[in-house]
Amino acid sequence: MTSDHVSELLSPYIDGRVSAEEQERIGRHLETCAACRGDLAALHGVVGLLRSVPPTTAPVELRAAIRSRVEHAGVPSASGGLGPRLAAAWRPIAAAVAVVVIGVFAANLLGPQLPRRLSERRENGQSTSTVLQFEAAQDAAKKPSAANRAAVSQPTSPAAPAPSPDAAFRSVIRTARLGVEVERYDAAARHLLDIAEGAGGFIADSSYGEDEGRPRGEFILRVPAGRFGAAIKDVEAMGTVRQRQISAQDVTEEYVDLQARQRNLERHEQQLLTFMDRATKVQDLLAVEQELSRVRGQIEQITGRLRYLAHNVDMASITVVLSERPKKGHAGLWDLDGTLAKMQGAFLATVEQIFAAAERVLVLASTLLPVGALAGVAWTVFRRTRQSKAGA
Amino acid sequence: MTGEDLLIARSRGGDTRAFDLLVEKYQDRVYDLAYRITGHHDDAQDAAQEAFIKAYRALRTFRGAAAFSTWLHRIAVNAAYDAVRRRPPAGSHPGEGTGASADPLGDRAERVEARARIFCAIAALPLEQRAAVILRDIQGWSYEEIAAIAEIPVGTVRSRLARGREALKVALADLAPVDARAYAGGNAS
Repeated sequence: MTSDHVSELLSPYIDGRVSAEEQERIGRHLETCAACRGDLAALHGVVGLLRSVPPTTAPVELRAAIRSRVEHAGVPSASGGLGPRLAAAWRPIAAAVAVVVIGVFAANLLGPQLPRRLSERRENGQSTSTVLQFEAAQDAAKKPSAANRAAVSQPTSPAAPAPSPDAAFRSVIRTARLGVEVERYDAAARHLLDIAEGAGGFIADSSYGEDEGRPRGEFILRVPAGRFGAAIKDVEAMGTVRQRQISAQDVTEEYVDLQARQRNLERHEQQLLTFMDRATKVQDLLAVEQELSRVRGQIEQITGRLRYLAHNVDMASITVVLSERPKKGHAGLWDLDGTLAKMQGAFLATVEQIFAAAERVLVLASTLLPVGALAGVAWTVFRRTRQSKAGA
Repeated sequence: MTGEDLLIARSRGGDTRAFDLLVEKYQDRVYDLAYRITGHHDDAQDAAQEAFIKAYRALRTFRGAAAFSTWLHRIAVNAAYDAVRRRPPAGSHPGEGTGASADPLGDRAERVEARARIFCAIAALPLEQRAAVILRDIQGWSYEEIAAIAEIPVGTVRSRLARGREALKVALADLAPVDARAYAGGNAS
């Protein structure tokens, strides 16, 4: 009888924490071993006993003691990123940032940018899906001309008759994609960085690859919306433009709508928090918690989207595909291919020059030919006259 | 996001009221655990306080990778271990606190005595077995949760629990209910 083999397993056995084969072994063993059956029963007994022990309750003063210590402890771990106060006050801060962003954007639009931007647009002759459009808030002098207005597409027509102050300008996400072929890739890549930083922006992303041995890279420049046109010009001045695509997406409706929903949800959240203060029963508290977490989730979603929109409205995005102009391969110490190419070039140039000289001779000859012919005729006439005189 | 996640998030931002609700929710289990590990009310209260304060301070490092309750109990177990190391529990203890929750049923004196004996038997176990038995048989955690709380492999949970129960089986043999024997005997046949 090897009851000691099984007794170690009886504890996991009653919890159902044995493997299938252990289970089988225990089952077989228990059939034949009364001692182990007794062990199992005793184990069941003691576990049942332990489970019947009522849990101790915490003394009433514990919670109060913790509360007072927590209040003095300040905020969880200063080590994590934002200061606690800042973290707690993120919503007003986000709102302030949004206001500033909107203000800057509006100032950009209303300022000297406007005529330049529109003239640029005319100059480029780009077909854009949407164009900045201004509502009554501007003075007449700055209103786009009738011709410009006519050229504008009408995504704004379904706008509410009384737009909110925030909707006095359009929120437009502007993007461009430019393919530029340059003489020297490395210099151009550095120049792109200068352009981005000079415009108060940055390079958000870049990738590098080779295309048939020629360097080719894709850069995403983020520049303030007000510098969008200027930055495009700078980029295009770097080389030959092979591709150009500019578009604008009007997100005003979405923006205004999201802000309204955010305000509503925040009001709702405030109400729930006051409910939470008043709740006395755990049941109520849990219900309020559930609802609060749902509302909070929605607010966070909306805030994230708003932040995304604000950022993209504020910072236009220019994707530049940079490629190096094809040239003869070059490699190693002595650029044999290059030399051959130069020799070929020199040879061809000489031949070309010879042909050109021949051509010039021919041209000159052709110029002289009528004169010579005339001279010949004159000479013949002169001789005939002398001969006839002499013969006479 | 559950209500608890919300409370955690708010606590992390410094909302002490939200944290107070978390304390309310977990204080009994944490205290019970600390009391049974340390064997003293004083130590249990210190350990429970310490555990909650530590949890509050460390909330930022809690990434939700583990369930909050598991994480909190891990801190509590360690705080209780610290308390035990500071003052090893005296051999026998009347366990006056075990009767704290009044039980209207049956023979009161007998029950109180039985609980005192259970309490002492648990307190007499080696520390690690003690924690395993308390977490499993009194508090009802799963093997995986205990493994996470005690930071040990599941296999170790299994063996510690087996040894702890074996010792308790011997110590409390005369208390085990008779019907349990009958049930187990029927099970085996």
